Amino acid sequence: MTRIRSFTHIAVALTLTALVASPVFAARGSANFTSFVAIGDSYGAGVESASLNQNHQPFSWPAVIARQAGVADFQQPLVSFPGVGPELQLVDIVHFPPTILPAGTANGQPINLSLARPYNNLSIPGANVTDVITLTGNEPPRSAQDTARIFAQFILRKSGTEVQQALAQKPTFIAIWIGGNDALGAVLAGTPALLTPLDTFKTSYNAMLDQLVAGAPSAGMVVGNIPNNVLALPFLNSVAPFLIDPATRKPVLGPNGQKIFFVADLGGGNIGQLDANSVVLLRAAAKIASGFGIPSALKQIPPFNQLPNVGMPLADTDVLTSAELAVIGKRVDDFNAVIAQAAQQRDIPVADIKGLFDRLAAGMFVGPVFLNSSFITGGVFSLDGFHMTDIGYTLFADEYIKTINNAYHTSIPLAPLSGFMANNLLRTSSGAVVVPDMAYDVSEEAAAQMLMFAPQLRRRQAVITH
Amino acid sequence: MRAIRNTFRLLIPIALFMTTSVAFGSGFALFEAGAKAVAMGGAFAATADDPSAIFYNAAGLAQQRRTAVMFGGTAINFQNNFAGDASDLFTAGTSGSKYRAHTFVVPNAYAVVPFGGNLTFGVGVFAPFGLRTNWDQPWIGRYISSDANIKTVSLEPALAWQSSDGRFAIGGGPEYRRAKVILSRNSLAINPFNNRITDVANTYLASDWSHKWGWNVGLLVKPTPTWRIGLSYRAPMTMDFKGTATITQIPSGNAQFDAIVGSQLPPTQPVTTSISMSDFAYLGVATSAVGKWDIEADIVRNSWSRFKTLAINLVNTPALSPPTRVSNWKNTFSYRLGGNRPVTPDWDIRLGALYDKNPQPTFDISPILADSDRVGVSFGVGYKLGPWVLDATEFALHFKKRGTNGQSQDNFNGTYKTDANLVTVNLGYRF
Repeated sequence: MTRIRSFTHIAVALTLTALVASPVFAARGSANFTSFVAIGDSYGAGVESASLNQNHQPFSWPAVIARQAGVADFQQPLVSFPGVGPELQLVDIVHFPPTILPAGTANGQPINLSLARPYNNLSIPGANVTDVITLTGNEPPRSAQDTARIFAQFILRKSGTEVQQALAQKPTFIAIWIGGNDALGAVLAGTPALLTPLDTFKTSYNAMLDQLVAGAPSAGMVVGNIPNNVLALPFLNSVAPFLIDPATRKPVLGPNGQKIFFVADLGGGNIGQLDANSVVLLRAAAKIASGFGIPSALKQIPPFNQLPNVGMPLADTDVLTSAELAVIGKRVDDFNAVIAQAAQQRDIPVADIKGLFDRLAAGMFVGPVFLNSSFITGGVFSLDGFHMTDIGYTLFADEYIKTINNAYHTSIPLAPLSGFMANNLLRTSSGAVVVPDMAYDVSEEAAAQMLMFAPQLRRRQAVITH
Repeated sequence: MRAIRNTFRLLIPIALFMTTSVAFGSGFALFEAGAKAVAMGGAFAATADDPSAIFYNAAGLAQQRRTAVMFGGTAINFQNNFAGDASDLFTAGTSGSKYRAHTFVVPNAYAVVPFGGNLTFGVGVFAPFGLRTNWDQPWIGRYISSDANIKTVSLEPALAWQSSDGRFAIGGGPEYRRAKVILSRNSLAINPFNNRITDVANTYLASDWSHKWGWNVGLLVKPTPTWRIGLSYRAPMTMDFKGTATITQIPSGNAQFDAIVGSQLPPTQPVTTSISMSDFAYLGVATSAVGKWDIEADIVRNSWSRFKTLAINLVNTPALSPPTRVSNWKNTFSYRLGGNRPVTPDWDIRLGALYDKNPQPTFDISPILADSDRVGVSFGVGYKLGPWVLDATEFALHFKKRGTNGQSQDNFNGTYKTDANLVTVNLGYRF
């Protein structure tokens, strides 16, 4: 009996140990990348500087994951340069404000349309969570700004939704990042009214996962949460809500020594001055340059008397008040709660993209470079102010890889930023430096020609393609 | 007197080209000052019976009762590799980076002249410190260091006295050390025109030769005919360097970006820095009571805690000087064991082994120096032919793999692996 009791004690102890040692939940399926598909939006597609093109599509976050995981045949809906739409390019950074122009007037062309199967990367620029389970590419665009339907036409090719085409490939692993446009549409439009209702988001997100789990029950999966710090985007953090002297780049102070805040429609036709916690969207910079937002009291004072629109308020869609920002932030928090719950219920790990954006907003060193969310110079966000650069998408992908490795106990190598080192000290024996050609770099000559044709155009209005 | 004059004629031309630049003791100390000592794992403080005693224990000179000269050097070849840390966003997945293929030579030369029955004078030229980490380009750590080179050469006259019964000896003398430092690295920035991490400038720091006086002292005690105890101490030095920081812009191919970079680069200008070099404290015990073997065991302490920072000061634009590098090294001990066995009247064989702790904390591991604990084994022979003495040693040194464990102060995490092969040859002549 003593021996039996001892065995009983040991068995109980082992059982308790096993229970305690078990993870909260095991990730579903396995990290088998034999058939890897991605579901997403413009971030997943690799849109950069308001353009989807083959120079940057290889750095879409799904493509980076595929490369690091050793996926041999990862197909994307490639578009020839200058892309859809033409990629924004930095032309002049010496003068203020910087000059950014599109690389031409014509769009590039899809060059992988004949692929006889769905793309591995099914991300649709402009797609929100409902689009993922509804758009098939058969829906006519309702306007030139109906980004998701425009892109769905040549990415989905009338062959089913993103989810359906993902399942048609019998996926062994599915990576998903969707929901950004459910908030970003409101951010870019400058009004919380365009936020996806929480119930809609919850229903669609769960429906998407239900369909994927039912269609690929043994596939591994990973999703990602959504940044709630919209000020991490240069589109929102680049233009101060008060008047800046373009010569000194310091605030213009009023007679009372205080900053002069812009005047704007604060919502519902309520005209008033912005406060320090308000945000002016990047696209309003050109309007401010013509006088919009500058209080009428400055109308007779040089040099503001040279500007035609002094005294005219900025539009409601040009600004986000602190109250509007709070509404957007709260909604994103709610979206993230939905994502977390939906993922946990299905044993799907969640990549902390919100955390990544928080770190970028604070600034962080990676190797030799300091990356932050500054416009143009931050290294992470592209010239449209909200899509990422190749470096940014690589960091995004690395966040997913870290999550996959943690959840599935794999060791997929992170994609190192050292791969973006250029000008690798390629000196000739005489000491001259050999600069590698960059297919999408702007030559001085090309920049000069573009300026000749459009000397007044300082910045193309960004086509919203998120 | 004739012997002395000849000796100095020999030493001067050797000293002219003697500089050393590689680290194979803990930190960047060097212990390769003579083939017999190296063959015995560096355990030589209680033996010190050839002219290299000037380095290991000057008291040992007193037992050398014939005028002698000796010169030679250590040829060092090594294999190294840097592999990025799988969790590092910059280095993950990278591997294969290594130093440029090169054979480094650590030279030495000595002369010994006895006076009367109890005094011996000697002079030696050797290299107590040295560092060279010259990475094969293009190398992803070049923003920290592409080349680091510390050269030293010491000229040391020494005088030793022993009691008439030979059981007690004391020696020592001043050390005149010259040193030079070269550091090279690139500055990188993100080019906003293509969003690539771009080399924008190279900083090449080359100091003038700095010099400083130090001292050393040693004791050698033979309590019994078969047991010996050796103690020696070489004083630490902090050497101050003046030189030039040559800052060369590297064109990116974009005139606007280059103009912005150019407007922010400091000009080429004078630069100063200081480097602390540790002391050497030897304690050795030797015995000839074990068969035909003469066996010695040493403990060597280096006060590397002196090496706390590395500050590069741009004289004309101090505000643009790089941040002071915090090193905070620790004192170290190495443990050395060696044996010498005469097999014929003309031939000796030698064996040695060592374990050398490194002084460098993990956060300071970098491409400038990635030090690690090391183990070594050595084998050597000595051959006498009339007045000539030839010593030769093969020494294999294995550095323990050293990783930064995510703690790199340079945001450059990975693992360094190094192995080295050292061949030391000395030729001596006894008058």
